[in-house]
Amino acid sequence: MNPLLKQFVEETREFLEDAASGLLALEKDPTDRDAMDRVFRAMHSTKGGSGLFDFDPMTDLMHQAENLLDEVRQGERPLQGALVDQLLDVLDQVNRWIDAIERDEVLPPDAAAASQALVDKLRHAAGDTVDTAADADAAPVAEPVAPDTPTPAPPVEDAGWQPEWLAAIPDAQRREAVMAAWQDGAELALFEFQPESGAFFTGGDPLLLVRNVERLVWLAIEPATPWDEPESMDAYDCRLRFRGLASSGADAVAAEFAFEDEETLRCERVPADALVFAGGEPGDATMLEEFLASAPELHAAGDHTALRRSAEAMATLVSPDIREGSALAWLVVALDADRQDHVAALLRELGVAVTTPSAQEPEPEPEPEPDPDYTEAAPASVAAVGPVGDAAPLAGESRADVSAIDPQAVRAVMQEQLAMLGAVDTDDAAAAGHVAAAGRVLKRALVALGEADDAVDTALENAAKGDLEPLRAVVQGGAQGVPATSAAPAVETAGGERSTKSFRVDAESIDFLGDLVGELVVAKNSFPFLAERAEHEYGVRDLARELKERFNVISRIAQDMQGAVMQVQMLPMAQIFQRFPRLVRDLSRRLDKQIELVQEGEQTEADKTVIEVLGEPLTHMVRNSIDHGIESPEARQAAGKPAQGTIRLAARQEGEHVIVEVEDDGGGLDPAALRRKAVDKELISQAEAERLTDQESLQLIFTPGFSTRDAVSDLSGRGVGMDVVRSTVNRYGGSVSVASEQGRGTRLRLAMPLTMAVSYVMGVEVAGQLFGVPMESVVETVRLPESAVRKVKQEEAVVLRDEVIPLRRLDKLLMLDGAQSDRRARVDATYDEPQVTVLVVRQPEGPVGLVVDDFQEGLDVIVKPMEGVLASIRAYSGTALLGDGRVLLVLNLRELL
Amino acid sequence: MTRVLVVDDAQTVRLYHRELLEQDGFDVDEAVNGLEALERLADTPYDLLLVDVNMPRMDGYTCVRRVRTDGPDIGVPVIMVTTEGAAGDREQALSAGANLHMAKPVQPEVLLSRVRLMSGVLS
Repeated sequence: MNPLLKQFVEETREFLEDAASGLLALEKDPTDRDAMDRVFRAMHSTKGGSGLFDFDPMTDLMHQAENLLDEVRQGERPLQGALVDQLLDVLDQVNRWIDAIERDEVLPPDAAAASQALVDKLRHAAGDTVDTAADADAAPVAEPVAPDTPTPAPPVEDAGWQPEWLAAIPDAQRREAVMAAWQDGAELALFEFQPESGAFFTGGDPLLLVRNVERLVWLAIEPATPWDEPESMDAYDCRLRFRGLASSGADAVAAEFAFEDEETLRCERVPADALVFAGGEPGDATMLEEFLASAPELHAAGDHTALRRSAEAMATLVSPDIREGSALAWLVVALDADRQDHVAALLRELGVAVTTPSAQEPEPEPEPEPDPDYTEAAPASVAAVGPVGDAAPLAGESRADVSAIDPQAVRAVMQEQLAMLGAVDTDDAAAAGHVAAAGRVLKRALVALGEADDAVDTALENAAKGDLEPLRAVVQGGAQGVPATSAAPAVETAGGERSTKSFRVDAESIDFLGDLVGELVVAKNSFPFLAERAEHEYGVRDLARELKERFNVISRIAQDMQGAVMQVQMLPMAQIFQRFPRLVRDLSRRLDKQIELVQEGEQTEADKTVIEVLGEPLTHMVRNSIDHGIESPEARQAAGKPAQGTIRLAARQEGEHVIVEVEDDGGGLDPAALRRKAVDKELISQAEAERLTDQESLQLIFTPGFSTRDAVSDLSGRGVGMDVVRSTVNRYGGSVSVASEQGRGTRLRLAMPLTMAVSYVMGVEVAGQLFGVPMESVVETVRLPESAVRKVKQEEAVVLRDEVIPLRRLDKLLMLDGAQSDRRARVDATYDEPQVTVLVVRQPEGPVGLVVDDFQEGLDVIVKPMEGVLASIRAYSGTALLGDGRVLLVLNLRELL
Repeated sequence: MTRVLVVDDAQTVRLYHRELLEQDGFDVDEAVNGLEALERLADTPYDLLLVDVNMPRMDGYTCVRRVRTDGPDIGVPVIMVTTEGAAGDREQALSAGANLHMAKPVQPEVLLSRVRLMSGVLS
């Protein structure tokens, strides 16, 4: 896959996750500004990314979602559950698309339809909350309301809407809009909004609403009907009429008014061409003579650069309020956009006899969709004329023709520098920066145009003092700057705060690194063997000692390395926890339960393998709590509990273990019911059931084939139960336990080792074979005379420090009957009577003594789980390779005992 | 070599701009937010900044304003790029100190021509 697309896929997934978690946070606390920003940014970025790849359906959908969210952000719309649902649906859809893109690199064929359906739903949602009691007042509307007006997707008619009040829009605003349309491809829209007369009482703020229209270019607020006499006037009667021009398109404008009654709004696209006309009354135009003299020639010669310069210079001399001034300003705009139709018309307006022989139409041709890339797509003839010839193409640049920048574009950039300078006060701390930046760009632009730049410096100095005129002249070309003396103060402070540097690493590389370090830790174990051989087989004591010293050094380094890699592989529990708010929310809604999820210790870290392993079991446990644990609100209230149940999900570190608890305040488990069910299912006999204590009965839920409910729900009862949770957790060296009080709730507790990479095991010998016992379960090692072993029926036990410890003979447990080892015999020989060697291990039920032949030292090993056919042998948790090449079987005590 | 710093929290966008500009012979560095951009600027002189608006930790407006106020190069040309410009985006960008405002999706050729002009490679 194209790396850029791959990047997009990965990143978008993160954004979607961010957005989802943010939405849930918002639903809980709508004032959470941070969450709002996060969601907004994530959606925004997703939209931006999809735009790069032309995934239009995705862009459209995100756009609509973002608009809706923006309304929420502006406080125009409450964020209710239904809306969150819809936004989550949107995220889900985009997630599916991302999956498809990852697979096929394109959106699925039905994407456009799916997008449209969701967009419609979102729009519908926007309309849903509209108060439809708006027909009370039928104040006369200036324009007859077209029946199909406020539909979100207006049919694009070339004529658009051209009400007579177009003329009321001042020159400058019309030009701004036209430039937006011609240069950026903006769609222009006119709207007329007349709120219902009772608008002030419905909590709406019509003015705020109108001001929120994106890229509002012009707005007029007028009384829709003449005001009444002061004494009879009702100040609370809304009589306002808003008329406006926006360059964000009719759809966007209409979307702002989605809550309003359709009757109150007319909003339609207006062609940019309809806005191109000179305003004002004809005035004294004697100054125009010079222009009028040269214009026909320049126009006929097609020298638009010169014509433009001439028009612009003239525009600064003629009042913009008179028709001629307006026409000149328009002429500049039309020339910039190379709209020859308008150029000709405007020249005619100015009284220039247009003699263009070229195929230009004398009348403006409405051109509904100007090319957004217009300035760059200007005909070659424009680029060929004017002083651009020596704007050198980039050295070695194959696309030299592209790099010869269009002079009109350069002018446009220069114009922006003026706007930038105009946007800052001279006493602003950033003013010097503005001036310096504008100066640099202006100089570069002038060089690109092949114009002298000696006037720039003085003009800039003036600009620094707030006088933009000389600079304006420079920008317009050909004018001379005004000399000045004082220089702009240079502000020099080193800025910047340090932030932590981080970068992404492929998880696989880290796994590989972890494996290597693990191998190293094990490989170093060969040193003690070597040392022993050196000493005993070869009799070189010194070498043996040196080897041991080196071993200690390498051992320490390897340990540090292991710690470092482990740290890298640690992930916060939040990785799993973040999925639960959504799960709880969705499921509780489906089951009509009210559940609050409380999460604690999300920052607790554990090895990423552990985190990965924990995901499934935890999900299952939380589902169980929602489905079986928490009762319906009615049942809860009947039991005197609050209607809303609580599920607590808490993680913490305890020694070498990470503990995760799922606790609910639901109905709890009924031990008697559990026993009955187990007997019904023939998992235990009636007699066995009667012997079980309540505490023991709870453990029945871990029995394979046990389900606490008759009806298999589609949530948690999917054929797997707590037995699967337990076996998964056990397989990775963890454990799960349950505590429950009837009527009060249930608590499930998972304990997992913090890391899986390297384990410290104790070697024990039985029947001539070596086995490993996880060191964390070893309590102590003792040797006792055989006579200390007491027999209780079939069972054996010893008393150790006043505690009775049951004994298990490991050779019997493993069904090994090899001869007693030499070591064992040797041990026995040193005592007066036969000895038992006991390894005391910790078990959930209490300590247990394992009778073995001998102990060996502790070993660092990488335990690999039993795989394939061996996986069914449950007495062992895995195998490990020893430094001398032997394979060590690591015991799974839980299963064995 | 003409150096451009691309400041955007979306890695996809950074990569895209990097590809586009590197193909055209520019040296491109990246920063993921305004703070990081300032940090980079403290170490390296750039000929032009291409700055996104919406970013965590420090947004584009704040970043550009800080550059214009505190430097080290207060006059470095800046193009601000926003997604689907909202009302007033351009004004806000210019008043923060951007030399030019462009709305996404930006036409690659238009962006390139502006970067070429403003970074001074044509000079």
